[in-house]
Amino acid sequence: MTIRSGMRRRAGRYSRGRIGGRGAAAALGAVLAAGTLAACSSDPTQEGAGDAGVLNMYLYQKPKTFSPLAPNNGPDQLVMSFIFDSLYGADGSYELTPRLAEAAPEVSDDAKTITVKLRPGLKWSDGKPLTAKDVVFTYTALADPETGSAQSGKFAAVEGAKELADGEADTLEGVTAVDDTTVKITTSRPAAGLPGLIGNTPIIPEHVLGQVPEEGLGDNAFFTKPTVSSGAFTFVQYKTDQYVELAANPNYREPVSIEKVYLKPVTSDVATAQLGTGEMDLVQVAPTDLPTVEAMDGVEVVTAKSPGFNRIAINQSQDRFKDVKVRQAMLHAIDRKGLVDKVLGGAGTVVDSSFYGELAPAGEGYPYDPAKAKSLLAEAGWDASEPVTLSWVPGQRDRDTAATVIQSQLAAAGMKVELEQVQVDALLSSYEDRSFDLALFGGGNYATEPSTVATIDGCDAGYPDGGNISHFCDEELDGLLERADGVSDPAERKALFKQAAEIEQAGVPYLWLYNPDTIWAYRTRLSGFEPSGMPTNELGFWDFANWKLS
Amino acid sequence: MALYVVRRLLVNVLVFVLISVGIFSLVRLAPGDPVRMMVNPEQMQSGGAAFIEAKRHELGLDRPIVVQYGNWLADAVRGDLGYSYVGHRPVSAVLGERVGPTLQLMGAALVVALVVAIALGVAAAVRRNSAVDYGATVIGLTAVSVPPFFLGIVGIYVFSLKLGWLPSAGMTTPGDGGPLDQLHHLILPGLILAFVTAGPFTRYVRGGLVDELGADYVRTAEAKGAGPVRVVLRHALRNSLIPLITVVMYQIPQMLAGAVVIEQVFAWPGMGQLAVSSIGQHDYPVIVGFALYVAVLVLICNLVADLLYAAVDPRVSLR
Repeated sequence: MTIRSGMRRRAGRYSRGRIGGRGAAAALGAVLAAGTLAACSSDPTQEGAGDAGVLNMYLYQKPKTFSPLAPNNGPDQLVMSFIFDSLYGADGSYELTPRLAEAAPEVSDDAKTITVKLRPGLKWSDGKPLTAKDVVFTYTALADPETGSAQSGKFAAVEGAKELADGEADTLEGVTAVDDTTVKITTSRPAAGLPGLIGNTPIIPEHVLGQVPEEGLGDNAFFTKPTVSSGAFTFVQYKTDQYVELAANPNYREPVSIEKVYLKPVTSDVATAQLGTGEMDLVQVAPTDLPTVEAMDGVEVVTAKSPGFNRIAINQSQDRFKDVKVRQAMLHAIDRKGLVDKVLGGAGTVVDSSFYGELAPAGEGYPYDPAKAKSLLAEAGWDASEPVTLSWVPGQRDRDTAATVIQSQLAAAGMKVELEQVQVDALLSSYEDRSFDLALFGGGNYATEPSTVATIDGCDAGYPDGGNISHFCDEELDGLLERADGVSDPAERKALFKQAAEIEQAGVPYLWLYNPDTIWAYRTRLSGFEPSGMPTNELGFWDFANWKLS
Repeated sequence: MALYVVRRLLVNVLVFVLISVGIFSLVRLAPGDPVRMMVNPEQMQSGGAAFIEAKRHELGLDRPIVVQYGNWLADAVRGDLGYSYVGHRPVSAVLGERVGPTLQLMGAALVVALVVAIALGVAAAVRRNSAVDYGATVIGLTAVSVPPFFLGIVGIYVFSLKLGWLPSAGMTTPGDGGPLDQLHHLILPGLILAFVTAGPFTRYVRGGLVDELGADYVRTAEAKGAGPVRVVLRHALRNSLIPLITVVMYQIPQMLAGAVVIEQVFAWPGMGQLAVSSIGQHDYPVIVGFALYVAVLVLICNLVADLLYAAVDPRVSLR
């Protein structure tokens, strides 16, 4: 307690402290009053929750920035899906649907030229025309790492992307505006999947950002307060950690009846509670909260199949996991149907590959069969004495439960599993130095553009150069995915992807567990809301024009 | 007195620099990498490694820690605490907008806590070993021993969900935000923080007053014919509150810890929420900024405690 070192009591005098005492009390009071007053600044808008025309929606995490150049981050994307529009979106069956574009992209026979026609008469929220030049500007910024873009890898196939990335060119040669409504993209190799890969990126306004230097463009203040946009809603403000306020965009290409949207980042418990009290109108809920929301009055619950997933990466840079029999044995050992039924309350689907819908491999796949798991492990000469660590980031109830179930089921098949709860960055660094054994994680969507599976399975996509955490490698699969990208005929592409899906299923790069259904709960005063199976952070699937509030 | 303040300020500056070195090194040496956390591995396209490397260079994280500290200090002296990695805004701005909500929460809680503690403490001291005294003891012990997050959850369940009286989270209703609306949102978190804080204060008030009531001057006053109310309120209480002033100042940094928890539970957009989310995201500049803010708060509170003590109690001299 050095604080008191300068203090000394003088004995015998204590009666005349009154003025000092009052002064001190007054000072303390003034400090407190100032603090309270300073915080009491009021907001000019005076609409409360529950108003017709005002929608309160749950945001599952706090957003960071509203920049399409930044690394993808779920809550950011969700906000952006309201305020920005993209050339293409996707529908419930994961097919590309035109948004700013007028129709499906025209892909040349050699799959090296892609032409996109924009709808006529598109406008930014400030009334300025939105043209092909904005698309060129956006794609150039995205392809240029100097802007701070984390998306440049997606443009690798575009002609001139390498020159732009290396600083040898200022423009992206392969993306040009033929006229106000026509964008032409040329690629250095066949890339029929390119529209699916880049088509859902938000288009940003050239007339606002065109004069900003490329370097650090992604960190520009515009992206913390995007004043000009093209989505169904315009950005009004982000009251830090409280809510994002949006207003209907009068210049949107369709009339929007909801006047205001508040996106509120709170914990899922609070969101569920607020749905009950009416403070929240629209909430995405975890399967474990399903019984709670189903019991609420005036609340409707809807679900949709989703390509979001939970899966386990197997570190195949370790010799013991290189034998495919070991990986197949693990899939047989885990009762995935049981996990869906018990952990998700039935709200999910067991899957056997990264390919979805029509492309998914047919047949039984890997049914729960502990005996077969045992014999496969024996065939592979598995050393049961050597433990395997299953790492995951705790906090999501279904994953936490799944981890313990999987531990006991793998043990029953003769695999000693130790559970390890880790922080996000510890998990990521274990990916990078390849020190993990098994890692349970969730996310993703390879549905709209199946060729993107290459980024998680490809031999040259090992983390951190790409998303192949498992360090799986199958050249035949790589070849098929590349061939599919060189074919412009949709039917032919589909056939190639189906083949790729079967090879992937047989090779088990990951232990696929299940795709949880997307569950939405909303107050019945909201109508016209269609649940989408797309992950919430995917742009271009909401049909805002149909949403109505009573 | 003036000399004392100057000397203390100089010592505080030195302490502050030492703390900054400590915080800076601890934050940087702790495991974790902010850059890696920026990219979801699932979203890695080709060029992920290059992005990570470029970002690390841009943020200066590839330089030796001593150089990083030097650069930081040079900027900090000019009032520039750097940019938040996550929000891309100046740290001082990020912190600045959080001070208000936290002050509001803590200020309101402190006022309520003091009023309650003095009333309860006096009642307990005057009627020692009565039902009131035991009641105050039980309340005080409960306040100290029940974790604030638990009180928060119970509060939300009872007052928001079951009774529907108070909002469950946030500082304002979106789109409203008028003073009454803010007050409505403040009641629940404010009262819980006040309750937690009032516990120890009550014990101090009671203990101090009991001591003073046994002192000679009190007996003298009584002998001179002063009534019991006058004796307690004018004589004994005034003197017994002197140690409380110091306790309150020392308690403020402690209160901030309580506020961190309350802010999390009630989605109150203050410093505490900011600190928790910044730590989760390894947002180094904000973590360092926050820690230094707390350090400054502690140093100021200690200094103010000493000065107030001297001002209130003339027996104390400052050298």
